[in-house]
Amino acid sequence: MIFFKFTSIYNLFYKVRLKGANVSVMENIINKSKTKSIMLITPYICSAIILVLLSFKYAFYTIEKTFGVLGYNLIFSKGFLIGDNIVYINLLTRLGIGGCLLFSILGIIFFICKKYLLAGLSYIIICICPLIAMLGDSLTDVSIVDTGLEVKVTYMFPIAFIILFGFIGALTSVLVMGVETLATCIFKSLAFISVISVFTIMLYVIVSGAPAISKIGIVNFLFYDNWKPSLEQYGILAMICSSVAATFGAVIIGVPIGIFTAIFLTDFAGKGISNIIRTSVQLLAGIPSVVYGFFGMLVVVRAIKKLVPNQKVGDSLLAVIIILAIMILPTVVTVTENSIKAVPNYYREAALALGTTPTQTIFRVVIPAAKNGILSGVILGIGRAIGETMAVIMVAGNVVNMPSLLGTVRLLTTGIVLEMSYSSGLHRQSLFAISLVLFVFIMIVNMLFSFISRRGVSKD
Amino acid sequence: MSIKLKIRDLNLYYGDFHALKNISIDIEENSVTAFIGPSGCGKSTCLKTINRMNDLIDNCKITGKILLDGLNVYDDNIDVNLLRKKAGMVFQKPNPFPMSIYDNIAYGPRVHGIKSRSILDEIVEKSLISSALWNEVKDRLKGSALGLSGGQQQRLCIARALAIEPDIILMDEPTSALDPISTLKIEDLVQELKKKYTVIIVTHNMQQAARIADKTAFFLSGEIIEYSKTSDMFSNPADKRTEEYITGRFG
Ligand SMILES: Nc1ncnc2c1ncn2[C@@H]1O[C@H](COP(=O)(O)OP(=O)(O)OP(=O)(O)O)[C@@H](O)[C@H]1O
Ligand SMILES: [Mg+2]
Repeated sequence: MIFFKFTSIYNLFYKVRLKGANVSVMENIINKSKTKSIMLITPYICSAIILVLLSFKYAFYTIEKTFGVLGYNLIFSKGFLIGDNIVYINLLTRLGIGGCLLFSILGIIFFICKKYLLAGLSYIIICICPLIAMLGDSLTDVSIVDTGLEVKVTYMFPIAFIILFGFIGALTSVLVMGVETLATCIFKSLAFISVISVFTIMLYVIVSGAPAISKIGIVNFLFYDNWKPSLEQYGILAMICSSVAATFGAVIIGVPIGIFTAIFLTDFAGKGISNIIRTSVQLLAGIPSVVYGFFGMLVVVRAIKKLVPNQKVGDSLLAVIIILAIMILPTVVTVTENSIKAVPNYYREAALALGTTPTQTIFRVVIPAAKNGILSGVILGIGRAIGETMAVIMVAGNVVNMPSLLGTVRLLTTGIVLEMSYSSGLHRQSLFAISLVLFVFIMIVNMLFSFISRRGVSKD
Repeated sequence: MSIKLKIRDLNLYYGDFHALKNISIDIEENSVTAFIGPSGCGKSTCLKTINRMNDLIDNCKITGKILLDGLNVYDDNIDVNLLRKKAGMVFQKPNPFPMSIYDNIAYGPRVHGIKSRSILDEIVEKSLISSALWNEVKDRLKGSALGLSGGQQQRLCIARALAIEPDIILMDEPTSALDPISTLKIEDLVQELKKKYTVIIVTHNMQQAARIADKTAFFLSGEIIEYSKTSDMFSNPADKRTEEYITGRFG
C-alpha cells in the first residue's frame, strides 16, 4: 500500500506533464483529462497539507503514564526532563520525524513549481521516514532500560495517513490511467517491498551494532580472544574463527560429495536410481534444522565420543562440521546438477567425437563449462553453513574456544542466541554487533555469488 | 586408388523406424565424397554410424558391416575411442569448447596422452596452418575460442579434428551456418585436406557438392539411390529421382 502510493502519484504527475506537452495535437481529449487530473490531484495537495499539520502533533512519547510531546518538539529538542530522569530522544527518531515534515513541505513546493518528478520523490521519502523514526525508537528502548522507564512512540497517525493516501492514490489512478497502468503500479510496488525490507534490515543491523563496536573498539572487538561479558571483555575472535573453521570444514567435506552426487545423477545413474537419489536429496533440504540437531546429538556426537580415544565429550567442531556438511548437500547437489544439465549437449558430442571417454568428457569439458554454476552452488552452501544456528547449538558444546577439531566451540550465530535472553546494556549491544559481523560475512558471500553468476551469464 | 571405407548391407533402426536401408558403399582413400539428399533421408545418420556416434542414442539398432581399413567398426573388440580418433568429425554447428583457442586444439592430443609442451605447440601450429586459420589467430592463441567468428570457429573445429591425426574426416553440413566467404574458405580447405585425408561431407548445397566432391551419393528415405562420380551424376544422372532432386524439382 505504502509504495503503491508514490508510483501512482508519480504516474499521475507524469501523465499530466505529458499531456500538457501535446496540447496542440489532441486538444479535445487533453482538455478533458486535464481538468479531470487537476480535480483528482487536489486530494494529494490536501493530504500533503494535512501531513504537514500532523507533523506538529506527530508522535507521542509514552513515559510511565502518557506523556505527550508534539512533533516539532521532538525534532528540535534533544531530550526531556521527566521527574528526575532525562529521556534522550534518539537522533534517528528526530531525523525521521523531521524528514517527514521537511519533505511534505518540499513536496508541495515542488508541485507548485511543476517539478513533478521531484515532488514524487519527496513523497517516496516521506513514506520511508516513519520507518527511520521507528528504527530510532527501538534504539531508545534499548538505552532507556537503565532508568526503568517505558518509552514508546505511537504511529497511529502516520500509518493511518499512509493507508488513506494509498487508497486515494489507487482510486484516482484507476480513474485517470485505467486498470493496465494500475497493474504496473502494483507490480512495481510489490517488487519494491523486498528491496525496502533488505535495506531496512541492513540499516537496523548497522545502526544497532555500530555503537557497541565503537564503544569496545573495533580491534578489541574483532581481534581479541576474550569473551567475558561479566568482566566487560568483549573480544569475539574465537567465535569468528570457529564460524570460519566450521564453514570451511563443511565445504571441504560437503562440496566434493555434492558434486560427485550431481555427476552421478546426470551422467551415470539410471532413471530409477537417479529418481531415488534426487528425491532423498530434496527431502534432506526439507528437514528442519532442529531435527539435524537431534541427529547430531544422538548419532554424531556419540560416535565421536566412542570412536575417538580419550574423548570425554563428543560435542565438538568436528560434529558441527559433519552436520553442516550434510545440511549443505542439497544446495550443492541441486545447483551443480542444474548447471551440468545446462551445459549444451554439443560440447559432449564434440568431446566424444574426439575419442574422449565419457569420464574424461565430464572432467575435462562438462565440469569446466559448468564451473561458474557449480561455484555459485558452493557459495550458496557457504551462506547456509555460516547462518545455521539451531543444529549447531545442539552439537557444538558452546564454550567459547579457539577452534580445534575435537574441542568445543561457539559460533557467531549461537553466540547471539545463547545470551540474548538475559543480556543487557553493553553486553546486549555487543550481541547486536556480532549480528553485524555475521551480516557482513553474509553480504560478502552474496556479493561473491552475484559476481560469479553474472560472470557465468556474460561468458556464454 | 585403394578403398578406405567399405559399408556393406547396413541397416539402422531408431526403435521401429527403419532409418537406413541396405546401405552399401565403397569410399576411396584421399577422395572427397559428398552425401546429398532431402532432409530426413538419413545422411547424418549414415555419417554417424561410421564413428559410432549413434551408440549414444538409446534404442538405436544396427546390422551390417562397416569396414575401416578392413576392420569392422562394429566388432566387439574395437576400442570406440580409438575409432573416433581415427575418424574425426566436424559438426553442422561450430562447437568449440569454452576454452582458449590453444586448449581447444590441444584438447584431443592431451586426452590421447601427449603431455610435452613443445609437441603440443607444434601440433597446434600445424593443425591451425592446415585449417587455414593460423594467420588469423596466431597472436591470440590464449584468447577464448568463443570470441571467434562463426567461420573461424568452424575452421577451429576442423583444426581440432585434425589435431588428433585422423585418417578420415566426417563433415556434417559444415558450411550451413556460414557466410559465402567462409564457405569458400572451407571448400578450399577440403580440397587441400584430401591430399592427406579421406573426406566425407554431407551437404544440402548442390553447387558445393559439384565443386568439391569426387564422388557423390544420393540418399532418399534411407536408401542410396545413386552413387557415382560427381561429374557424371550432375551431367547425366542415371535415376529419374536423382535428376529431379538435382534440378530442384523435388524435395
Ligand atoms: N535420435 C533419433 N531417434 C529417432 N529417430 C531419429 C533420430 N535421429 C534421426 N532420426 C530420424 O531418422 C531419419 C534420418 O535422420 P537424419 O538426421 O539422418 O536426416 P538427415 O538426412 O541428416 O536430414 P537433414 O538434412 O535435415 O540433416 C529422420 O527421419 C529422423 O527423424
Ligand atoms: Mg543431418
